[in-house]
Amino acid sequence: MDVKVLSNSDGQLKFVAKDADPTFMNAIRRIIMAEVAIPAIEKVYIAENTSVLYDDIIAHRLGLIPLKGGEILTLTEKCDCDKKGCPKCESILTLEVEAAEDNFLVYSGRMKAEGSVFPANNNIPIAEMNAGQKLTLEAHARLGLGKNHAKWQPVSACAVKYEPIIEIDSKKCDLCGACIEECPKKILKEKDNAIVVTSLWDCTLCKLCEEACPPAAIKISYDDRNSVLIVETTGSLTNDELVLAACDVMLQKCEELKSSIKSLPEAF
Amino acid sequence: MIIPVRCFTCGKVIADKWDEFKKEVAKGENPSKVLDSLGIKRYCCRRMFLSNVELIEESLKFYVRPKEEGKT
Repeated sequence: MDVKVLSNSDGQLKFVAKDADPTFMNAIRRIIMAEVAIPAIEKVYIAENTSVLYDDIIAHRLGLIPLKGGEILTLTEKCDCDKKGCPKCESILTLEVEAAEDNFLVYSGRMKAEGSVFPANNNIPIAEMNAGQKLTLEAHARLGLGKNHAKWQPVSACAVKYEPIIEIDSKKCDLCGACIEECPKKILKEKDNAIVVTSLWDCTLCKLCEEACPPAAIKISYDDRNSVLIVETTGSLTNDELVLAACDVMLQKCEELKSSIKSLPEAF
Repeated sequence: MIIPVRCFTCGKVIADKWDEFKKEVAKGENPSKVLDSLGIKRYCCRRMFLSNVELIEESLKFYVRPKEEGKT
């Protein structure tokens, strides 16, 4: 398997894996989305809330804030505290604000981390308050999996795409430019009396150029042995950490399968 | 009410970019260009900005301060 990074900017990682089975790449994608554990606020104890937002709305907004840290925590389901939550599987954050002026915005950066977990982004507004309004709360963050709640999903966009193949028959092509016009991603260009592809990986395989071409000179197909994985983190882990974590989870699953097969009686 | 923390559809964190968006649009900048410069590419995230109305500012006007309550 040959890996080449296409781009790694704006929080989005795009890499091509050559000679990788599409089912394998999809397994990695699904593990990133559903089974990589990250922390998120699970319980909120509100001591005082005189803001115009209900307690429930504030708790919901807190839950969606991406959190960093928490590597030392264990999953609550696997913790010996019987899913009650204990210092081994929970980390506490507190927030205590009294607005001094009108239209005062409380940002996620105001939350004080009592444990290892802290907000990944300090500029998320939690509430807007007028002078004199108070918000005092204690939030308990837990590790969790994306399959249980979207707040534990470490990625926003995460996709696998096959390698597009764009074949242009120069004998049939009359350079009418219909395909250049039709392409929604604008990846075709005329250069030296021929149609050329400027960025192959931006092709969405929509085949609009095929339909637009009167002499049928352009043909779109794909190669499913080479696929691109697009990962866009929400901030808890970096994109490369996510891919590595997904590989670890997969290995761990294989180990579990191996040990359970080995523990079967000989007769099997 | 108040800008949602994440995009309803894809889950991208968008709330942190709202202040910048609001400031630039108030200056008269084209919202489409502001969203491009903030790196909001998908239309699911873009509609979160374009369709948001800060109703919380309207409800804040009706907040009765405890001190004023005593006077009246």
